[in-house]
Amino acid sequence: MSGSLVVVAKNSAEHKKWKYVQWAYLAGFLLLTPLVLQPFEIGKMNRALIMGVAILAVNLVVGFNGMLALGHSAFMGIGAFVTASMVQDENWDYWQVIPVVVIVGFLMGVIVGLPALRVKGLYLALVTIAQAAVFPTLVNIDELGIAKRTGGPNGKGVSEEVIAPSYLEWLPGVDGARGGSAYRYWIIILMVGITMLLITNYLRSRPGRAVLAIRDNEAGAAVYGVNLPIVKTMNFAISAAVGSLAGLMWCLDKGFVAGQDFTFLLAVDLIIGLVIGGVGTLQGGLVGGLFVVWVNDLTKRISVPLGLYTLNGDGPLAKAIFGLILILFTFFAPGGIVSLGRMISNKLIKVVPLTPAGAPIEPMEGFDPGMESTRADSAMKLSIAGPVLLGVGWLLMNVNNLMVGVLAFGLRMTILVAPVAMLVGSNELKAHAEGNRPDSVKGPASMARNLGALGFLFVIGYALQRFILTY
Amino acid sequence: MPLLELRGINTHYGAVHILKDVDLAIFPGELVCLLGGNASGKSTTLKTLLGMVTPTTGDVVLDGEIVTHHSTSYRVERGVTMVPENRRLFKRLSVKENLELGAYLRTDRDGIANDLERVFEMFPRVKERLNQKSGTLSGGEQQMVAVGRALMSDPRVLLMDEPSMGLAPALVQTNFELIQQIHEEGVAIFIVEQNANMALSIADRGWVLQTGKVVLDDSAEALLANPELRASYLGESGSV
Repeated sequence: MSGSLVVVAKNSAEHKKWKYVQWAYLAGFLLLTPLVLQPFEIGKMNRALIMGVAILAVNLVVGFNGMLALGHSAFMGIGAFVTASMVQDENWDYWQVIPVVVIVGFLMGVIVGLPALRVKGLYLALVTIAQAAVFPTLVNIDELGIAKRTGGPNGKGVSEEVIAPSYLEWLPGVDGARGGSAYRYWIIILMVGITMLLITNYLRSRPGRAVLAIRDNEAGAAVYGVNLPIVKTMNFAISAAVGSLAGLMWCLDKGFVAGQDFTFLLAVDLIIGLVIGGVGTLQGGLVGGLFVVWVNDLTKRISVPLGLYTLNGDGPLAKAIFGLILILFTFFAPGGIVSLGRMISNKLIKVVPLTPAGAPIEPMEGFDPGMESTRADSAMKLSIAGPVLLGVGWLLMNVNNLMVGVLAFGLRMTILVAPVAMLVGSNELKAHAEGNRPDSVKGPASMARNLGALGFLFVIGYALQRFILTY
Repeated sequence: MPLLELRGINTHYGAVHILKDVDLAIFPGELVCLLGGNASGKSTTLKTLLGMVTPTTGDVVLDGEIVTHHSTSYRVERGVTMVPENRRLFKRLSVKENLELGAYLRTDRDGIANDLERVFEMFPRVKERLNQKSGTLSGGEQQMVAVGRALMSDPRVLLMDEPSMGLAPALVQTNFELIQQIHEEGVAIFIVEQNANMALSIADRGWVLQTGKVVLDDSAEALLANPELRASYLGESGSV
């Protein structure tokens, strides 16, 4: 199959259909997560989402402004310690701490950013690495009551637990044993959603445009009157505020904060997440967060049977396998998971913007292939492949091996493309009815439509069943 | 009174003396050019005019006001804009976003909308490409967007850094016609070029810069006829 399976015009009725399918999948994923996963796995998911927000913060500076800043673990730490101290020592509620954390993070961003942004490239990287390296020792300083606030080397626990109030117990997964982490999951999802919304709007605003312009061309931006130092510093400070917010979420989720949680190793994880997720993409942060947390977890589990001995349950080869996966990613997905995903989804559905006059922007190969269309055949193959791979995945599930288990999971997930086959099939049938396709299209197209619809129904039914069973 | 003026400018990069006692003045509505070979100090002159380089001695005067130590944005707000060398579009932003960034410092919404229409009138192609990422445009289209972006700041004087660089010969011709068109709307234009023949064919006056010094300052016709210039820039046949 060369080109794309189907090409749609941006904002057309057909494009909207695809969007609904995407949103439905996202909603299904979010709803099922706290229901299907074990409590400790929900905890990991929370951790992944928090890392996602922190990576988004790094992305604001590195991906959207083109500045190499590597020390955001320190901003996360500041947010976490401010939260822990305000909640534990001053008896504030978490939500009351949010504005404090954002303002403190912003000011710290200005303080670090003003001198740091005078240097560029590797020098900025060096300054911010120093910032990340020095932070864990700063929290142990005995002067100014710092150590009392941060708990010094012992860390600081928050004794108040985050428990769902009775009027929120209807949230999926929030009841009894799973209540704690599932409730925190929903709080974190809400905060992630709001943060994403705000950052999307920020990047579309006038200052946001200036930030992007500086990344694309610093001299060019200056020529049109963009005040480079001010825009860069403000952007760095906003990024620091978002990083601090991730710190607040960390404290809220774990209930315990220690200096050694926010070392340079965390900063490295953030950079790994950023590069693997996708530099300069909004979704990249969250994808990167999921990658860092879950793949780290997976490599630990894989390496256990391979290792000669195990230290606190982790396989000794975990880091080596993780490194190998990173290397493979840089070869096969150099633009990150988000751009790999876009490449794959472009093979299925390509969205083409239109000119104001309504004509598609060139090159418009395959916008409507007419009588030559082979889409029905491809869609039919897709509609058959989905259920077959699902079946294979199901069989492999019974093999008691982690690697095979992961493979089986991936195979079962291929059924998610069923609506693509369904919509392409029905489109081709419509084109046939309008006389734009030969009669030979009719058979494969209706098969793709029907089998795809069955597959889609199966996905919805499966999700509903899991939902009802556990709820 | 000149719109934009350099008075006795000396500029150093570290120990290197780049510009040596440069004097030049651009009057309202004029089309003037600065010629010079590689490393003659053309780009530094532009950067000095726009405030991206601060001279060691001498003054930059904008509309009678000494702006030597004022920021670039201060000068852009008062009507100086540049079309940078190689166009320098924001490649990952759409054409529309590029144009909007040209009006970055303006707050008069009606004026911005008017100027956007004016750009569309001048370049219908830009309007067609409005939602496209500017990095995907052809060289000629990119040049249109770059000029359109500069016009969006409603300039009184437009500085152009090597407008013919990196364009196909046919496009160079169109490009210079474009410059004349903008000039006819009353915008003063200061072209910095290596392509002396083309620049002098449309300019009123010109200067020739050699190793940081203004060696010739005359009308375009006189410069075109100058045997010294012909020998060093235009070659025997009169084309570069």
